[in-house]
Amino acid sequence: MARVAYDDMVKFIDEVIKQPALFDHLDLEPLEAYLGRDATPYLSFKKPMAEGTYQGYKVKGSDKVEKIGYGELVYMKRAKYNSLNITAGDNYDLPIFACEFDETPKRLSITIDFIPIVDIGVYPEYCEKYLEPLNDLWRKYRQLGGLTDGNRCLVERRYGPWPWARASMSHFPIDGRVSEPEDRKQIVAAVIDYAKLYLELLEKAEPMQDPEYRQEVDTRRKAIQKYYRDLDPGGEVLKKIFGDEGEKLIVSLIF
Amino acid sequence: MNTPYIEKMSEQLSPLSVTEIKVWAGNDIGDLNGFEKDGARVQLHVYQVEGVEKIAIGGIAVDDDVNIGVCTIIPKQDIALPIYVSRWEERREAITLLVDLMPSVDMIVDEAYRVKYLEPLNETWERFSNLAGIRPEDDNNLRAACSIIYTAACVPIEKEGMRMAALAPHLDYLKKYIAYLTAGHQPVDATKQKEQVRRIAAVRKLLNANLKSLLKESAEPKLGTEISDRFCAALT
Repeated sequence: MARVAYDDMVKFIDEVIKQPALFDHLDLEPLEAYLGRDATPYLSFKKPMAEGTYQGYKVKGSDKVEKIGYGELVYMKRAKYNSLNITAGDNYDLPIFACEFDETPKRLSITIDFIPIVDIGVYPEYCEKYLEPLNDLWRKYRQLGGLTDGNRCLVERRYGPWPWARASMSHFPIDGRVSEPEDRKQIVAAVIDYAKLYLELLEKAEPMQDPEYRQEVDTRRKAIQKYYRDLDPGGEVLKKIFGDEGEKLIVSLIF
Repeated sequence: MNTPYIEKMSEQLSPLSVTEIKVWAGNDIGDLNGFEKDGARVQLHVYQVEGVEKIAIGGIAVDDDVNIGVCTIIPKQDIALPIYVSRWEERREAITLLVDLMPSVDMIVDEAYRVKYLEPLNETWERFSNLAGIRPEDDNNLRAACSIIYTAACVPIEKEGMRMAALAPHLDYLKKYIAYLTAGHQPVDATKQKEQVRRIAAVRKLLNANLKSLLKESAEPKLGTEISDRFCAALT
């Protein structure tokens, strides 16, 4: 198993967001507060154990995006915990783009998904529209070494201990652990590819029309957000670093 | 090559009081069991059991090339139970399989259902994660309906003992399902029933399409479309 030096670990915001100009076509407006909590202390933080950034944005003049949230937390210069999430506005049934990218010298733990906000077992048209476009990317990237240990790649490696997390995922997640430097680079490519596809779908999205369907979407989206905000495994670490209020702000900015 | 799929699965039904039926949804199905044509042979048993709409176990053996086995348990729409699905495609060199308790509700919104019926199989699911050839279910549409504890694999048969190893998850999941069935249930309310009607119908449609696709190359050329379609309908 290859080890990667700390300085060679992925610079997430730079390599995933800035270099590919992921959001340059959007007129982003920083969220200085979210759900009544001040977000500015977390734009850049330096604590005894951790330093980094958590940033939230909305898109000026567009209700398609409720928020884009991303963060990099460097823990004791030994590990990096990164995330990128995009949540659509309430009028839209787009999935939630979710990426958790946690790296140590030993390995990179990754989950990338379009989290569906309907029950995809009963809405084949939703799958066709928002998830089936992931088919080729999923089949390509799920073959990466490490992800195919035991031949599983369906939240069975990384999210295995959390049934609620597994229940939230689509049927096209990239989930698992890799260690080789080349595989880590491929994972960066996977995140960018998934994100670019999501942004294409966002561009074409139309508001929901059916009030009953909208209610169903709303119920599911809130259930998913509650799970991730209340139970995300990283929450306890965030509480230790930022306190209860800081942790609540950060998890709600991301999820 | 003949793993006794139907015999072993049928043995698991012994705790139940079953009545075999020969007519399903207004259609005669009795003639399907024992049907043979051009080297393909059909077996089919459909049972009525208290608490479920039906239990169906069927198989098609095509020459010495492939043995297909399917078992489904479709719950009654007013009882909160998952849908048992077992699909078995046995060839000389590999067995491709899927087994699951597909939820009849949204398993993220209905936490109580997930905790009661799916999470108890976590340990079983973890145990079978070491099955040779484990992999995601290949049919995207069917995979979308799967639960969090499904097991799918393409098991390479390097030793004959691997055939029974491949059957083990089907038997274990079925045993668990039967324990749920015999535990007794309260009917669900009208809102939940509406949700279940919808999801059960959706799963049946996806499974029917998946089975038809499986039989299209392997058995339909021998049996013909009519027999093949009737077999799939009886099992879904």
